[in-house]
Order: sequence, then C-alpha cells, then structure tokens
Amino acid sequence: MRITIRYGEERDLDEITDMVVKLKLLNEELDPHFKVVDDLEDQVRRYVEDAIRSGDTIVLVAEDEDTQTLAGVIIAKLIDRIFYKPRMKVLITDFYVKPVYRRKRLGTLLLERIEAEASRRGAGIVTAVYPAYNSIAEHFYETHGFDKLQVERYKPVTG
Amino acid sequence: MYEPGLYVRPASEKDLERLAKLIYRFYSFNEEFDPAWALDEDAEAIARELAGEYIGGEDLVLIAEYDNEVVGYIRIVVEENRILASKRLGVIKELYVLPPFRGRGIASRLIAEAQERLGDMGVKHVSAEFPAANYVAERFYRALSFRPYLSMYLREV
Repeated sequence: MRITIRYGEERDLDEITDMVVKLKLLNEELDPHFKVVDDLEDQVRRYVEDAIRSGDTIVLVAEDEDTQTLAGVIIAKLIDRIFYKPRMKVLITDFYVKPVYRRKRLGTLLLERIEAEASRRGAGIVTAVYPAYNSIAEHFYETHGFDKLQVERYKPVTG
Repeated sequence: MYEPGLYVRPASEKDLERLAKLIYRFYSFNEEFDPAWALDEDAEAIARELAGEYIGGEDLVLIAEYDNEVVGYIRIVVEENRILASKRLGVIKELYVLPPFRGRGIASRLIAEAQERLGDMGVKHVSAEFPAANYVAERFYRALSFRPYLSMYLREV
C-alpha cells in the first residue's frame, strides 16, 4: 500500500465529505449532545468547500495510490491566541481515517504533516478538539504526546 | 419502569426499510472500533438484504417502536452445544438504538423482552457480541450485569 499525504483539493470534495459525515455520525453515537442535523451531508459539503478555499484552514488528505482513493483526512485551523504566547496555534477540528486503513500509522503520518504545516506557518502549538466521550481520539492524542489544555462544559438552555 | 410510548414487537415486512437503516448504522458504528469490522463498499445495499432475511427468518429479531417510530432493534441467534449442561445460548449479535432515543431504557427493554422469549425456548443464558474495543457496548452490558464470558482473538492472514 502506497500512501501519499497531500493538500485536499476541490476534486476531493465528495470523498472528504463522506469521511467528515462519518466522523460527525460517530460523534453522535458517542454522545447524544452531538445529535446531527437532518441535512448533515449538505452542511458538511459546504464546510469542506470553505475549508479547502480558506487561507487559514489546512486540509490534508491521505491518498491510497494503488486505489486512487482517499484513506483519511485532517482539517485544522490557524488561530491567533491574542492573549497568550505562543500567539499562533493550529487547532485540529476534524480527523478521520477510514476503518479499513486503521492500524497502519496513517493517523500518525497525517498528524506529523500537520505539525510540519504548523511550524511552517509560524504556529507554536498544535491542539485538537473532540467530544469528551470519544475515547478513540483521547487515546490517539495521548499516545502522540498531547496534554489536556482547556475544558468546555455543557448545559442545555431551558424555558 | 419504562417510558410510555415504547413498544417492542417482532420485526415484520413493514419494517424492512427502517430495519435496513438500523442494521447499517449498527455496523457503521462498530467499524470504528476495529478495522476487521470495516464495511463492504455495498454495505447499505447488503443491510437491506439482511433486513429481508431477518424478517421471518430463524433469528429472534425484535423492533422497538417509540411514539410509533421504529428507533431500535435486537437480533439474537440461539446457538446449541449439547455437551454443555446449558445446551442453548442466546447470543445478541446486533443491538442498536438511534442516538436521539438513547437513555430511555429502550435497549434494556429490548433485551428484557428477548429474554422472556428465550426463556420460553429453554435458553438459560444470554450473551452479547461486539468489537473488543467498543467501550460503549462494554459499559452498557456491564451496567446490565453481563460479565465477560468468551474471548476471541484475531490476526491478519
């Protein structure tokens, strides 16, 4: 299996959308607070389109050269932390490797490439956000040296 | 004990489309935990075929309706081993409730209803199969007093 890590392009839109949809559905499975919208696929497609075109968002894909299909995707934003040093960070918002490609270090390859991109764009740290009950993500980031940084709490608004 | 509006019954022909979607979501969820559970490219179509086979087939397949909407299902296969004193084991092969309907006791009601039917069939034990890394399922079954019973190991050929 030959894997290439490259930037996501317009021609990848369908495949990236499929993967991000699967990621959002997984989040819904793990926590009902992440109940997906009825037009999820349309929303994801627009989101991915914007991400590919945006100058401050990095979209990387892992491509299986043998099958000419995508095996994984990572989407990350460059953010200015105006109060803190280092000022610039890269925030990973979406990270998905197709199940059939798991346990082959594709996630590590994508992450290494994002770290290189972060360095190239002047970011001092890489962060990642994922649902609190996503133990798969928790384990992945912990084994790749990520520490906990901040907490987001949740309370439904009633009345 | 259970929420009003919840009704459990055997799957029938009218459930075909909904059952197919639930089967697909069950397997889509489980493929996230182990590449050996990765789905076939035609998984959605196959799920529809399976739904057709389940309805009226030999397995025990029950549907959960909530406010007249099909929101979950369970499929149990009865396995026989005559050298064991228990003889027959009910194995939960698939159990799924749509995420927005979780936390209402629907899955445990499906199991309870299935157990009643298994009891009538002379089955003394019920077990559940799921990927070893599926911590959601593990937590759920442990909460219902299921204990680890069988280990299965796998490696690539």
